Amino acid sequence: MQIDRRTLIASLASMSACAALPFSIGRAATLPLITRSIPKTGEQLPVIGMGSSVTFNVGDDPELRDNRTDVLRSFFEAGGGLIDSSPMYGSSEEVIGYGLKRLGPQKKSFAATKVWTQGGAGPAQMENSRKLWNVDRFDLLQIHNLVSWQDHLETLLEMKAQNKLRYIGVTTSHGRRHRDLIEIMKTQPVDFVQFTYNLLNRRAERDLLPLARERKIAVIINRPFRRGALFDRFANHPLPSWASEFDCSNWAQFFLKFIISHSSVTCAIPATTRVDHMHENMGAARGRLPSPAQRKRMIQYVAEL
Amino acid sequence: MFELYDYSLSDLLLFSRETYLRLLGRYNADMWPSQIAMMILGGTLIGLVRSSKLTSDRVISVLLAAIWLWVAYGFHIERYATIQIAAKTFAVMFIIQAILLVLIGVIGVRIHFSLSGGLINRTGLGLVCLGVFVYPLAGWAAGREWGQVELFALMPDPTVVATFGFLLMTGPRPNGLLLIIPVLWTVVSGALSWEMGAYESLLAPATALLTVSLSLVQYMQSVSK
Ligand SMILES: NC(=O)c1ccc[n+]([C@@H]2O[C@H](COP(=O)([O-])OP(=O)(O)OC[C@H]3O[C@@H](n4cnc5c(N)ncnc54)[C@H](OP(=O)(O)O)[C@@H]3O)[C@@H](O)[C@H]2O)c1
Repeated sequence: MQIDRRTLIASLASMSACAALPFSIGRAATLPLITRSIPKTGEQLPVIGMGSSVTFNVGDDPELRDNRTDVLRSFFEAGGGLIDSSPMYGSSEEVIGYGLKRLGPQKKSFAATKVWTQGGAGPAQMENSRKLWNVDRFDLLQIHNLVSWQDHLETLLEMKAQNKLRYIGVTTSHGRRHRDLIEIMKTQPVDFVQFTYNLLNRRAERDLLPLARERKIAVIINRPFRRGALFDRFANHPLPSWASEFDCSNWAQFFLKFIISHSSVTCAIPATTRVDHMHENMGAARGRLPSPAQRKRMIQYVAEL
Repeated sequence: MFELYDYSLSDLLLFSRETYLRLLGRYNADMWPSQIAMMILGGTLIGLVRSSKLTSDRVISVLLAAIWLWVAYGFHIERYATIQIAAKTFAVMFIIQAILLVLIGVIGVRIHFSLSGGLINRTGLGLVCLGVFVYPLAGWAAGREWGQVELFALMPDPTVVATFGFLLMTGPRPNGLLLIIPVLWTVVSGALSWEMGAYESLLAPATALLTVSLSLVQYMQSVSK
């Protein structure tokens, strides 16, 4: 039998893929889960959480609801904690509540939602969210896109004082309302901040991430895959062989490990509709993380693709 | 409060194409076999246009109003609102259109349908046929399952397309007030379809463009007379 160059390369590629496979679902799962502490309290949080916009907005479709419950189950089984949602995401909160009820109490669950309405309507909306989630109280309540933030912050501080929630946060995405966010981080007693940061959107490195560290604010990173656009752009290119030096066996882990290896990041919240993708994403919460030199190399690599 | 510049179009599309198509599939399954009745209704409306009587003008307007009301309730409120946070606003738009049809066409008797045979009038008939009979094929041709296609009197887009057609069959030109909401709807739905990658749904904005252009032509003609 003759082996030409193409066959040889293809065989080598599939052999290396096979070699990587047991790592992603076998060895990786036995490595310790990476957690980060919430700066204000020292409480530990797994570095990968879960987003729910679009992915969990499936309305009353019974089949999709059960499928999302499977996604949620695999999230918890892989050691996940923080689930992020918002009343803006249609039925997502209700579908999370459905899943949590079916799965039963989860010790590690860290329930995070948002308030997204005019000031006066805030308390009623938060109470409605609590009922939809089926939880006694939220671990984290965030002001979505800084909407009516002065009014909501007052309410949230009161709720926190009464032990009706544990942490307060504010969110933006895609660098919007950047200046307002900085002002809030500098002057207000918030515990968490949420914004966008990924390999192609690194603006937060300039000010938001250093400021969060200085002010002891926990950082949640949204849109870690740019809503999936990172896969569209890079996934048909080969994953560099040196990615295995920091235990990455797929692009999802490459993107996520870049984010969580920034020391100011507490948690990234990728969203998915698929159990296999959830396994990949949660795999990023284990093993080695890229060093500063390796991070530079990652940036350079994707810039050249 | 909600500064719109804080949101891009993709921020406002908060469900996937799969979820949307499955919602249509479940809606169609629940409504079966009324789809056939709705096609017969569409054909009956065309027959009424042919009869060119004052009473048929009123009947067409009242039936169109009822169809817009049904889409507001049966689709927007009952179904779409489970995944689309703006669906109730869309329902209000559709209810206002139904009220306008009753006020202008039934109480005011200011809409007169006819098959005059002119180019614009025939285009109107073509749009009605497109909305009532051809529209489901567009979804199917774009790869949807049969159960997930959109139908006249059940879904907004084909209803709007057929309504454009009926309005182009009124003389001397379509009532401008009755065009506002359908055109606005095609802008919203076209933008969301674009974002979702459901390019077959761009048919509706295309018919809006055609209807507005033809109405302008009719307006210019009537001014220059
Ligand atoms: N202002 C705010 O507060 C704000 C704004 C934006 C986002 N957020 C939060 O951040 C969360 C995440 O952002 P996002 O949902 O916009 O986008 P994202 O997490 O960046 O990307 C989600 C997309 O990535 C795909 N994906 C996930 N894992 C994958 C894998 N392993 N391989 C291939 N594809 C994969 C998903 O498709 P599949 O379903 O096929 O896996 C989905 O299309 C949101 O859900 C929300 O909770 C908050």
